[in-house]
Amino acid sequence: MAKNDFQTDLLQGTLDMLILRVLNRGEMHGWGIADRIEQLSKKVLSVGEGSLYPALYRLQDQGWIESEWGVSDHNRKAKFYRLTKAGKKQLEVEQETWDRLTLAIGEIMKSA
Amino acid sequence: MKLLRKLRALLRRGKIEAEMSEEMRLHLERRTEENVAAGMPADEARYAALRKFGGVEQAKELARDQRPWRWSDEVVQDVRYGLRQLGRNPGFTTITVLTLALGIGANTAMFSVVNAVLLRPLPYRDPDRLMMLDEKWQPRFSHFEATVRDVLAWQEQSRSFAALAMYGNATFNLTGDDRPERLTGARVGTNLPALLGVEPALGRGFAPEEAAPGKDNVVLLSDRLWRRRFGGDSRVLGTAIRLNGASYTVIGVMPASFDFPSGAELWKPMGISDRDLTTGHFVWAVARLQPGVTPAQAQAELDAILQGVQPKYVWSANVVPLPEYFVGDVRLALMLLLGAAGLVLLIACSNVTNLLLMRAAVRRNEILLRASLGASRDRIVRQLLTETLLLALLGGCGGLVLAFGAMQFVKSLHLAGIPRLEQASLDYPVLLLTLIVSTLTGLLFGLVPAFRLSREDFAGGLKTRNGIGATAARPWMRHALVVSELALALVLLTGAGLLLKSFSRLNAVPRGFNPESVLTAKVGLPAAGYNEPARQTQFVERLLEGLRTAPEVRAVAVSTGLPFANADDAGIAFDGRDAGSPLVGTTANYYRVSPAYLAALQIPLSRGRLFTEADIAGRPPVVLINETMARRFFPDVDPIGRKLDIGGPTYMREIVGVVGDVKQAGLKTPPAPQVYEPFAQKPGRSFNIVVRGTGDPARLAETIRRSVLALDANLPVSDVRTMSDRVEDALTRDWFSVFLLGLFAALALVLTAVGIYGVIAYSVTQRTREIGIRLALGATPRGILQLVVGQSLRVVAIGLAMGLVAALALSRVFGSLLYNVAPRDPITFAAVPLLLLGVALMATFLPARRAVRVDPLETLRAE
Repeated sequence: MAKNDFQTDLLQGTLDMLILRVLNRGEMHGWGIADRIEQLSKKVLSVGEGSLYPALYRLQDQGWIESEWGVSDHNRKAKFYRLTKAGKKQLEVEQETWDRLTLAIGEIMKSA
Repeated sequence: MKLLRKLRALLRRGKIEAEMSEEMRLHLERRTEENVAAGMPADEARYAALRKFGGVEQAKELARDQRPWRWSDEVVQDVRYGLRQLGRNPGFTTITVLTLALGIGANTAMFSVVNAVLLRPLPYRDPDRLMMLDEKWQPRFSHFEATVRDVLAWQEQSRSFAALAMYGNATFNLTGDDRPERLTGARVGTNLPALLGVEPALGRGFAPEEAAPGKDNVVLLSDRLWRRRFGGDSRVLGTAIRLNGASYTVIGVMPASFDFPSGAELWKPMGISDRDLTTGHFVWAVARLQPGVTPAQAQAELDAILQGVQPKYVWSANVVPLPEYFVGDVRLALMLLLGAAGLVLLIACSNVTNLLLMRAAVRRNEILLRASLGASRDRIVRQLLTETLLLALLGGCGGLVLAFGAMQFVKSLHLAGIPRLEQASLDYPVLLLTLIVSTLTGLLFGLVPAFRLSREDFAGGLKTRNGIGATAARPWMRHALVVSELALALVLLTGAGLLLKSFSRLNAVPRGFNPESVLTAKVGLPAAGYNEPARQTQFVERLLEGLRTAPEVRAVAVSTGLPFANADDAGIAFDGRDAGSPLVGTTANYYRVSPAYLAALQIPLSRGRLFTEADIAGRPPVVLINETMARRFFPDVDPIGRKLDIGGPTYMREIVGVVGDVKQAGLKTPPAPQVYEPFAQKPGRSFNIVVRGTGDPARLAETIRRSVLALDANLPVSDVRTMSDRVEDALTRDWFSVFLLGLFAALALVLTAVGIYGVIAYSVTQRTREIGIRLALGATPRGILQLVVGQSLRVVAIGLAMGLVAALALSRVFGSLLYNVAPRDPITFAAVPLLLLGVALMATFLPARRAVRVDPLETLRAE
């Protein structure tokens, strides 16, 4: 059940960053994002799909992503999300913060 | 940007909500299919998908929580709940909204008047730099028309003004069809419209060369005249019309908003003739100040110029900003009335605060319950404030309705004497002000009860309900309300009392003549055909002869001047007095009248004789003087038989009689010296017909018009009005102030009485138990009554004392509005507190008496 622990403990804001990162490659629909995060993290991280949508709406309200109804590769109706310019900038900021944070934590863990 | 997004989100929330459901549904569908494809049975596939998703509704709620419209949802909730609450207490709601509507309505109506009369800028370019120029001769005339010569000198020599234009009133007989009409117009400097910044709506303005006499037969029409007489047809441009028997070319039509000088319907260039240069004082000037020049500097410059022009320097200049010149002393009255309306609103607010405090006590349990169920303090305060704001806005709507009604009423009175009053309307600034006032009042009376309730100890609250200690808390708040209401009402009532007294004094001032059943009309004979004095006399004789035979006419006469309208001013010089003596002469109101004039207006004869039909041209010239002139210039001798010159040096006239003083310029100014001369001995082309008659004034007017047209079909009759109307017009401003202040004071009195009654009634109810115990312990009902009334009287006395101090301090402002009443009139200042004391006593006594009739056992058992 290790997966589930990650699911609930995912740091506040980390999910947002992951979504932005995934969307940086191109537009994608909701469950695609969930699948992608799971797949990229080699199945370590599983997004609670319920909390994915509030995050998506939040990002949209902030103007970092935008959405549009379209048709998926399986010929189904789906809402596609894509990064905005502001979102790209935000991703850079978060990437940098994240790098600094992991570096710092890594240093502490090594030395201690 | 952020706000915009939020707004968009708010507007699209219904759609967003639907899309959210749809998206989640599709997601689950897709997962279920994946699971089926992976080999799960159908229902297990769906459960697995749901498990993976988590709670659908929770996810939705979580998403909603993160949305920016959360606050607005709560507002909608609060408003809905508030409306339900108000609907549940229709009595409370009605009284509150009505009280507020009265207060807000009074303010809205007053502000719309102030806005139209004082605040709205004149419809000219940069009106603040526009100045009116005229002359004064202290101490006799503080404002008087200037002479053409003086204005020309100003125009040539002054450096203070960017532009300066002269104008004078003129009347025109418009003839040429079967409806001759007498029109009020103006002779103006050709640059006047441009100086004011107004272009003709149609056609062109005056060209500079049209200022010269001979080239000045061109006119601009007012929009009103153009529509009325020429059917609003643009083909009138370039055509010729007949004015005063001469031909004029119509060159343009001014916009409908152009009304300068007030009431003018057509304008022609000054066309200054040699005669104009010697005629005397009959023009004004408008001028635009140079940047950086003050009116005082300009006035000093104009004075210096006058000193060089006038052989004897007696006239000096006035430079007054245009708005001030025309609004004048209405400002003070209007500001006072606006202040009075503000006081009414304060009283209304304090009544409503009081009602809310009482209701808060009733709702305490409801609120404690909500608090114990988890509502935050913030949320409760917000909820209570929403309710009071709703009340205030409802009151504001009611106020708008009342104000609209009040304004229609005031406009229907057609009050002359208050400029631009007819333009008062509920326009954008007025609506904005009403909104602001409503919101502020809502906050004002809402905050107190809201915070008091929210400060309560929520945990302990439910336990101590109905305890004696909890409910009797803080009576000082209610007492403060009573004190302030009484003080405010006292200020208003003394103001109204002073004005009322002044008005009744003014109304009782003798006019010196009887205006009842007298109709007047103006006739101007054109120069063509009537230039000979003999022709003028002949016309008047025939006219009077014709009118005398009409059955509804009792007396008929002509006069060049009319009381409460216009009269010439003439220089009087007495025969045989030294040139240096102060009694050598004076300026006097000057009337040239036919013999029956004094009888028609019922002006009494004190000594000597009136004019007769024998006082005609060629006979010895005679005059009548009024008592003021007789007293001042013949204190010790009989004026009969003495001689004087009018506007001389011409020739001497013999005084044959002394008649009563007549009020000429309003009721407040003491009568000036007055002199009457027979029209037949000094006729003129312009005069008023004065008819004392019976029956309907409209029919009388028709009789006059027919008689004039019978003599000359091209002759218009104008300015047909009853004498009573003219006198009433002179009282308009005072009546307006008295009426409104009286109305406000009455409102204040009623509101205060209701307010005091409410407070005392409530506190007596609160003390029912205490009173019951006292009665049970042997107190007499009489003693209790004394106790309750005595306690509230102490509060009343404080309120009255404070009001008295404020009223005495404010009375100074009233001074200039009062006629023959001291601003600290002792009778008013004694009567008003007594009246309020009586009202307060009644309002206290009724609930107190009810309290002592209570059966003590009953009240104790009720706990």
